[in-house]
Amino acid sequence: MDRQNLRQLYERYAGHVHGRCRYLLKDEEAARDAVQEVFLKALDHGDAFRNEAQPSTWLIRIATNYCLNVLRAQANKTRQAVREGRLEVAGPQALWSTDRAERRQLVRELLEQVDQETAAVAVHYFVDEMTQEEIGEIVGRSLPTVRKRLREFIDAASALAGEPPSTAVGR
Amino acid sequence: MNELSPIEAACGGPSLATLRRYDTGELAPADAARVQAHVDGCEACQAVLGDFSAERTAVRLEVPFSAIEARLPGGRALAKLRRFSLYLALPLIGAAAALFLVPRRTTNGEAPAIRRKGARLDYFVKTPAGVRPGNQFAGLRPGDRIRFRYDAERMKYVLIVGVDPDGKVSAYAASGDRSMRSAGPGLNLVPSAVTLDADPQPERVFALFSNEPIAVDEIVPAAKDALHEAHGDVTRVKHLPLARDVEQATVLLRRAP
Repeated sequence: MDRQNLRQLYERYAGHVHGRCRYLLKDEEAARDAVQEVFLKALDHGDAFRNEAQPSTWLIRIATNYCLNVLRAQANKTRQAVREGRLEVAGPQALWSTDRAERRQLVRELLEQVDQETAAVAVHYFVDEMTQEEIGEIVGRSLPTVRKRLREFIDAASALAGEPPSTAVGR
Repeated sequence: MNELSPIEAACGGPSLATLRRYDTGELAPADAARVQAHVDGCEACQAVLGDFSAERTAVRLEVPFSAIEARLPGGRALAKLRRFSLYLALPLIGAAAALFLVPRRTTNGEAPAIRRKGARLDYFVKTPAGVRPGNQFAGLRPGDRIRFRYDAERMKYVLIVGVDPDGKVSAYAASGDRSMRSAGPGLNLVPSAVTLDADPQPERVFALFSNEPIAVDEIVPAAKDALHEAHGDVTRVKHLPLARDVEQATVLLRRAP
């Protein structure tokens, strides 16, 4: 019975968790490990799960935080690429592209330029297309804090593209 | 302080987070019905849901549930799970109520494929790092092995062909020089995989479903017409102008930069 419940959780959500881990880690093997870790963490946080009306959002948040932690622990390859002039990124306006693929790619390039909370807020906003209110709820921050983190992320995009900060907010 | 503009997809449809909740059956029936009405007419959102389905199959192949079970310390974690099993059951009950409004699920534990009107096509990519679902975001590399998967719905025959920017047509699933018999209802992997060569150009792949076999030769002029109509841009070709009544599904193979 208990195994069956765990299996149900896994069968319904593992694909989404895997997709998030592959996107953030860009490494198939690391993503496979991350899926296991996320579900083990979900078990450890079973008490928190009881209040969740949206298990997918809850698991995606755990997966996002786990993968951003892994990225932080790695050498900062993106910064190195920026220093060496090997990375060219689009300007911040591209963050509002209606092309999901373009937006995902730019956000992924920028994640290692900002702190972990800012990165998580940016992923939920620009990739998951959540509202600021929804993000505030899942990361446990006020609306002004969510907006502040988003502006920090946009400023990081501006800086990488060689533009002055906050020249573009929204479209 | 200026407001930040909300993020929207080109189709103006539901957010990715909402599509995810639709896919997992978490939406209330009325919301699920609204999303489904949009998805039925939106190729972009259908592609996202197709990616979700392919990802589910890939994770089952790459990270079987037994791998997670093996890491549970004795029965301790499972005992903890028992405490929230009721809460896990609640959204499942809600999902059951919405069964006719959300993607149907198979009963044998296989991937809960999104099944809408019409047939479908997706693919898996095998690399030295493992198997992953093909999707619109990840580029392909020479040597990658591609295996297509199709759902012919009730059609009897399937022909899978690729069209490159030069109008060259390659058959990926056929019986001789014409359509092969569909393996039956539901999702079916084609019998064999193809290995990508070093050609960096994108390729548009079509699955053509019919009740009578189609000859590959019939596709060549249709591919040329479609390419001409799209000014030679194969990424914009979404449909082959075939004379007969054929259901079509398509995916785009893009090479990694």
